[in-house]
Amino acid sequence: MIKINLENTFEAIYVSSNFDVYIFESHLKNNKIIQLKVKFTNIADSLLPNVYNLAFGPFDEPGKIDDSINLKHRNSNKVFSTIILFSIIFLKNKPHATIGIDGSNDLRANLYHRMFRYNYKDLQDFIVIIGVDWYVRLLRNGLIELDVDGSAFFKPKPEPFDFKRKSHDLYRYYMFNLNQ
Amino acid sequence: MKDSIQNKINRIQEIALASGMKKNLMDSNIIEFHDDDNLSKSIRNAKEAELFFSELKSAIDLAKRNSTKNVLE
Repeated sequence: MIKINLENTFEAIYVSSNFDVYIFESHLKNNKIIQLKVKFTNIADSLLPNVYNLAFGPFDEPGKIDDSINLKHRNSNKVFSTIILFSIIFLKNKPHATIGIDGSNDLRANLYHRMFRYNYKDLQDFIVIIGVDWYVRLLRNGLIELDVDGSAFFKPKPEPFDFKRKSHDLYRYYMFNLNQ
Repeated sequence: MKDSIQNKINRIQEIALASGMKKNLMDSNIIEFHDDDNLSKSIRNAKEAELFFSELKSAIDLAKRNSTKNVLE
């Protein structure tokens, strides 16, 4: 279980001047030291101007974050505490922004879900957490709304993160912003 | 906010200032694409975006009220 403690975080070795890129170092269980990058990117969609996607992980040669890799950190609590601290700093500098986390797979979504659920009492002083489910509309004729290609058209519906929802009932998307 | 956390935030803001000169070096080749993001994929037009943001604002307001309530309890 990830325990967030904002007083126990790694030092940043690089912070971009607009607070959207951070680099820090973590020790792995195999004794290697790895540089991790945290990056907040405006979703490439003009319809969602204030939503920033959180990506983190080691970066490959072209500098792109590999957020699919599964690393064994010596201190995962400290890694995630650092990421949350950087998120808070990013939001303080962009108070109208909302951070979005798209669990790239069930494993990662499960991790975020359990992290938020386990730490909500400590985190609620700093951030509000939103979970997003997708629903399809039932039409009056008994059919469901379809997309242009004939598939069921699902719409995102955000709600305050339900801390009683367990990890077998994950949200599809997670968002958070400053509690101010 | 605890002083220790505020101090950390201040320290990171200092690093950001110092990193300003290195920005181009560190960021120039970093491009993240999120056009496969679940959220952006499912919002097709301005009307749907407006509806989503309206619901998001309501959810955030409710979450803030809940957190205040939890503190009082």
